[in-house]
Amino acid sequence: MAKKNLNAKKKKTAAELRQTAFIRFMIVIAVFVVWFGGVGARLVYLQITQHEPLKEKAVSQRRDVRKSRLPRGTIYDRNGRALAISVSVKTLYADATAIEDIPKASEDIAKALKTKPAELRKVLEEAKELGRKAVPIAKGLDATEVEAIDRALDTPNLRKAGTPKYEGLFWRDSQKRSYPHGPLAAHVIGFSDAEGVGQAGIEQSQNDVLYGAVIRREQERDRLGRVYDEVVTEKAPPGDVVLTIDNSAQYFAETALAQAVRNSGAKAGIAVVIANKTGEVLALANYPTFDPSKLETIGENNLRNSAIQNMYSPGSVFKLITYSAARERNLISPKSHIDLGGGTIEVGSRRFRDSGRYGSVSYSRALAVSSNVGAIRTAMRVGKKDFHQSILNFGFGSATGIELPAETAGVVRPPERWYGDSLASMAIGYEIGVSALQMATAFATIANDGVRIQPHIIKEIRDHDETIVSAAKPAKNRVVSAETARDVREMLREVVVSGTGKKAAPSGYSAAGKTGTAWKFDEKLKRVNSAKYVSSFIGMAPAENPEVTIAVVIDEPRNGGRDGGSVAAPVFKEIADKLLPTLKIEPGNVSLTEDDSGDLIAETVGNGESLEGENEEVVATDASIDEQTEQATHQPEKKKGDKIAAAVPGGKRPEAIPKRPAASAKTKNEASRSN
Amino acid sequence: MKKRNSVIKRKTKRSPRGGSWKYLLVTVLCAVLVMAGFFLVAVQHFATVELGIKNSELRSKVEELEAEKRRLLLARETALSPAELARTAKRLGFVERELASPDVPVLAVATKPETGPTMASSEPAVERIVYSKPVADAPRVAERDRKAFDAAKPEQKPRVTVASIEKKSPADVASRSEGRPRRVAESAPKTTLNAAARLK
Repeated sequence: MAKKNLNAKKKKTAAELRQTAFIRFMIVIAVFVVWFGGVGARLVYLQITQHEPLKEKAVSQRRDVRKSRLPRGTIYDRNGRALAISVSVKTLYADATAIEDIPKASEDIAKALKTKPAELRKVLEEAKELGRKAVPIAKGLDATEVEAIDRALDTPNLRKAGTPKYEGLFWRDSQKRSYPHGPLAAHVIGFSDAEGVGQAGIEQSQNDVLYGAVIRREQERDRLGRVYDEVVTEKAPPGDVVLTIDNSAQYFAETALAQAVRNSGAKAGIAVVIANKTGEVLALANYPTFDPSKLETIGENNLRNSAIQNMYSPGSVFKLITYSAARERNLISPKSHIDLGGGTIEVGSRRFRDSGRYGSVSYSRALAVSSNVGAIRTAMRVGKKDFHQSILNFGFGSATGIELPAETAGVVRPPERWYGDSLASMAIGYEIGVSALQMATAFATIANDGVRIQPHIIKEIRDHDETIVSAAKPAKNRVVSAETARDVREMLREVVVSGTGKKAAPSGYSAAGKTGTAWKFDEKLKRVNSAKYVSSFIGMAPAENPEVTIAVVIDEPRNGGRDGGSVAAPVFKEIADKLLPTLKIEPGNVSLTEDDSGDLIAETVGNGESLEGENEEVVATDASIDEQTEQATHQPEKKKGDKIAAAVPGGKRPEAIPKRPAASAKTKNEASRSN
Repeated sequence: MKKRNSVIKRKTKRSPRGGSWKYLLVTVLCAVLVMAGFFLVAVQHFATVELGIKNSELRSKVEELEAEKRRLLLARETALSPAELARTAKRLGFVERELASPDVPVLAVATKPETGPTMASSEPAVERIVYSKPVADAPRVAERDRKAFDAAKPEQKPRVTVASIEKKSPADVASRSEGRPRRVAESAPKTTLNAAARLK
């Protein structure tokens, strides 16, 4: 019985213990349930109700989004010399809200930057009031400057990733476009603005290739600001542009041109060098020029690329087209003779003169002495339509297509809008607007046996890994036959040997070319001004196998000889003297260049004189620039002596003879007064 | 029978105690495994962070080196630019080879009084031809032009001759000037001096 009681008691005790344990267990469970329930409820609240703001807060604490631009593509010359290159620079920013003691910080930063602390203090205080977190303090600093500032602002006890070790300061990368050769080829290269967008020259025309895309970096940082994870949106790096420009040739052209412009007191100058067999532009120089690294030096007077953007009346250099057109039609040959008579010819209502009486001379001689009468008579034989067609075939009246912005097409009026004496005027390079590049290309065509190769300035475009993306494939077309080109070259040779271009003869090389001296069209007067000249010489060397064509145009020379033979020809010589050996061109037959002791043959200037006001000295107009609607011109017909009257083909006179605008009757005195 | 039952009882009593140890062991093992897993994950995580930091540093190093390469390229190009080479050569005492043609304005100033209505004069060349009178006939015009041309011809010589001399040497300039008419010789010394000064 006792044993039974004991067992029952034991059972009871065990049951009580189990119950107690169960209760305790349940209490613990309840505590856990309440705890987890509370936590869960809080989590639900935070995750659902406070999701967005908390997420933003978390991301902003560890993640940093930075945008940076890939370096803009490089522009190279034909020999791989960099003409424009982008380099990384840094900008020092201040997080004004993170700086506690602004007066002290201003002192420290100003000391490091060597600036005035008062100004900096004012900037930082204003920024702190506005809550600005990125205030630029110093821009465009290179590595050396950055290092020096980091040293000066180093705070030893500060726990901070990156430099400078100073509270509230940080660096940001940016870019700077550099032009290591300074003003060399400035008009070709152009320049780009602070945003990395090209504003002129190749920088503008090839902006799509050179433009460095903006890349986005999402960086995750630890509490010290160290980046431990980074996601970069990759974009293709920009390409590089390789030009046909030779930096040596460009330098020779620019220095010679600048010297000539300064010496002659001229307003401006142009020099163009073209490789005849490829159409590559080796040099394209303008003066005055600018330094693309110093944007403040760029102004209206030096920004324009006159070689392609300006047109002018070429004057006698245009006789190349006249004689080429005639030779192509077998109307003349270099050795055949032409009677230049008394050196005067009247066409329509205009009288044209030569600088002397040459009588009967060969066509070579007529070109050598730059006879206006000879050129006019030759053009008359060619005829209006054929002459016009020849002009178009040489590429005048349309842009050459060179890869530079804002190229002019020039002005070539259709024959229907010519005046009675327009053919004569155009034969000697008036009533037509051309660019220096167009004129140089015409000479390069003759130098290249009559095949015109489209001038181009981009050799190739490369990918960032130097893979060639596209290479230049210039258009080629035959303008005149090889025989014509050879004969015309022979005639041009005579100009340098014994004509108006003697000063162009290079040392040790033969050359052929043509001088030109033209009255300049005056925008204010709306006609040519006989007091202002455009003097030029365009030639090729060596004469036997011309490798390069060099065009030199001097705008408004004022001092000394103002004709092309005196002003521009020596520049041609200087460029050729230095360029030809550099290009490893073998000297040719120079025996003909020995004739340099004779007189310099004066070149006739001007577009003839009007016969309407017989008692007054008259300045002729340049109607090529005037956009006027005129009736059809008429074919001049040779009359007795040297007078050629205007007449329609077939002998019928037009109902109304086209007349020049009233401005043409202004006297020279009036013109000079107007100046 | 009794004995057998007692054996069975003993067995049933022992099995929970042995099972609890096993459970405990398994639980501890699992806990250790889980802890080890967590530890490994943590190690991996921190290693990833460390590698990420190193990666980022190396990436920025590459960028810095590329930027430095560009800076060095720029410095090289600047040093090798034709203008800089010319300046350096000049600083080192090199003299440019004289191939250029004579100085046009100097020559023109020297010959200006004598050249008259030639292209070298400061007056516009077109003014050499006088258009003010009506032209009666072509022969008269031709004769007048011929005279004007003949009159201008000898006066063009000094300009051209001096120009060709200047290319050679100052001594030649001086010797050739001596044989000239007086008014030409007057202008020659100026040019000679200029030419000599330039050649020096």
